[in-house]
Amino acid sequence: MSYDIVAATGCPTGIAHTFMAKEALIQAAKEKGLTIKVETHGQVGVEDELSAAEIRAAKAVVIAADKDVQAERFAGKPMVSVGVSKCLSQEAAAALIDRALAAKPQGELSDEVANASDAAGTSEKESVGHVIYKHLMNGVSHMLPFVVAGGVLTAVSFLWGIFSFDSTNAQYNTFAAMLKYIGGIGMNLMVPILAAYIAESIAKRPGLVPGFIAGMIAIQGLPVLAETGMIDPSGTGTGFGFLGGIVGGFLAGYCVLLLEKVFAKLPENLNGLKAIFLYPLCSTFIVGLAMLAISGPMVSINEAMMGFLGGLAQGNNAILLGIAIGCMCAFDMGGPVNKAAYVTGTALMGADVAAGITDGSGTAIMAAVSAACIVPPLVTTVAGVIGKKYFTNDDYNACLVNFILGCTHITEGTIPFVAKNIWPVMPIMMLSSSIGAVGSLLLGVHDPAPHGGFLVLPVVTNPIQWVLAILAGAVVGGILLMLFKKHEYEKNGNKAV
Amino acid sequence: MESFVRKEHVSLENPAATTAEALAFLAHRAVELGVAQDEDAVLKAFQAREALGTTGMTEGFSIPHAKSDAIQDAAVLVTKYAEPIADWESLDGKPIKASIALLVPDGEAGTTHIKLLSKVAVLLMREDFRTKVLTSTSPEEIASLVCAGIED
Repeated sequence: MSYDIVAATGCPTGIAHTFMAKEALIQAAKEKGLTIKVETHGQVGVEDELSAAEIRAAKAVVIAADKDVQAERFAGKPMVSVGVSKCLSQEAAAALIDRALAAKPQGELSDEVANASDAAGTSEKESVGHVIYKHLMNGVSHMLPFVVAGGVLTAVSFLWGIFSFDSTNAQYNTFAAMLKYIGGIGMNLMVPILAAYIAESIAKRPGLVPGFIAGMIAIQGLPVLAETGMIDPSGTGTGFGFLGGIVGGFLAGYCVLLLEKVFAKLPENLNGLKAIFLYPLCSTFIVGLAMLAISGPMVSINEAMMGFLGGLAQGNNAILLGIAIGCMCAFDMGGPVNKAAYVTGTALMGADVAAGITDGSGTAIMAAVSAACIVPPLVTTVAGVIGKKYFTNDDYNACLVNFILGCTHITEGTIPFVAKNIWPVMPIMMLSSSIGAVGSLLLGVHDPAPHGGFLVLPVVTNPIQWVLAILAGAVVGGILLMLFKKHEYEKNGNKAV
Repeated sequence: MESFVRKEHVSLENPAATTAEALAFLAHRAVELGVAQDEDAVLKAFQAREALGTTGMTEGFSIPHAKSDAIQDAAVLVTKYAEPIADWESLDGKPIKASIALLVPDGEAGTTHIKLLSKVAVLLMREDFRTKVLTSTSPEEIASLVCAGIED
């Protein structure tokens, strides 16, 4: 269904004026023979919410509100915006509609509105794939600023040395340590935000609670005993990474929708109790149990991958080992598979360093792991630089920020790109990281530092070869990612998505 | 829903001469009817809302409302003044002859009743409703007018 006019009304208390203005607009539109949909921002929340497709299809927009109704959504539409008291009679509302229809649009349509499919405007039924993508994108777009803020602060702290956060180390600097801790909190919020806003997109506000909690569990993991599958109070969790966050977000959102169906039979006067008590309690419990059930297998996966990589490290096949490291590092970025590679690398490196060996397999594997972790953000930078117009503004800027994040071994900068299009971006990243890791192993690079990206170049053996291997991976991946974005751009009528 | 607005919620020949007196009367009445406990808190909530912008509408009606945790149940009070109140700023400059006051509990409690309050506000947009309220002299009739209006 599309409407001639879309409107948003709101007032501070959200009881009277919001709804009177709505009534006035509906009566005025009816008189004029126009169709209208009015979104109300009232005490009970937003009702009759306007979709991006409805905003796109409307001829004009009327805002009558004394509070924030997210007017930025309406940029680029013929619009009139007044206080709610200017819209409390049918005559006033009719005049506002006339003014809106005659108004000149200001600015450009927001990306979301411009990209809203016409199909959604004409038929209520959207394809399942598109719906899932929409939920995912809501999570990714909310997560992006956290990646930038947290990642860049962490990267800046490395300028004082990669151990500058550690008070027992000679590099310790209180300011750098502060940056790293603040940045770290920003980065740790990425996955919870991703999960929460996927759930919010599915189930509106009630989705936030189980979504956030599922996301926190995804980033921290639940400590479980492998034998019993129950909580082990003395253990530590293995995080599931962003993939776990995506699963948790969808689980949380649909769990709330299910609960809404189940509780629909309860009497209406329990509505308040539902929102504040039943939904948060039941959805969190159910989603928590589901995440607990995944925790056991996650620990097993992590341990199995560490065993697998440790076995490969004993052998002499650099290509096979490099591919394994590359694929593991780029697969789940902070999840059990990535951590297996990183922990194995640092453990073997640590053993070498402790034994005073500078050219052993431990530091070689560490160099390969670091290369594999540095490549993915740089892939997005290369793709963004050579194919700027195929990226939305936000994504393009993230591509540029990823240069800093890549150079400092902060792989997380890639997560928004992978989360948006797991296929084909994840395989592209796995391939690129493999190139970097194999190159690093073949060219005899050794890295005695566990983190820090290019900032540790002075202590790396064969640093130029290392950078070349990383660049090779970044360029190959960058071209592939650019080609994919070009394909998307053309599929979308020459508009970036 | 008949019980949502009863004849006790309607008062005629209200002697208030100023907006301040009218609001004080409504706060007092809310406590008398057991809708709220703390008269002062309710009055402050009414005044806070007026400070954000007048609730005087057109054609002699005002729609004061208070949202406070001192209010237990969502409720509607209707009052008609013996003499129109001139100092209550209205959208068309006319003095206020009748007020429909909305009492809103704080928080998310009672969503259903809050929606009813919104329906009462929308009723004021209907001319036939306004005319009937202004001409009626029976609390029962006014209460049933409001109830009938929010049922559909």
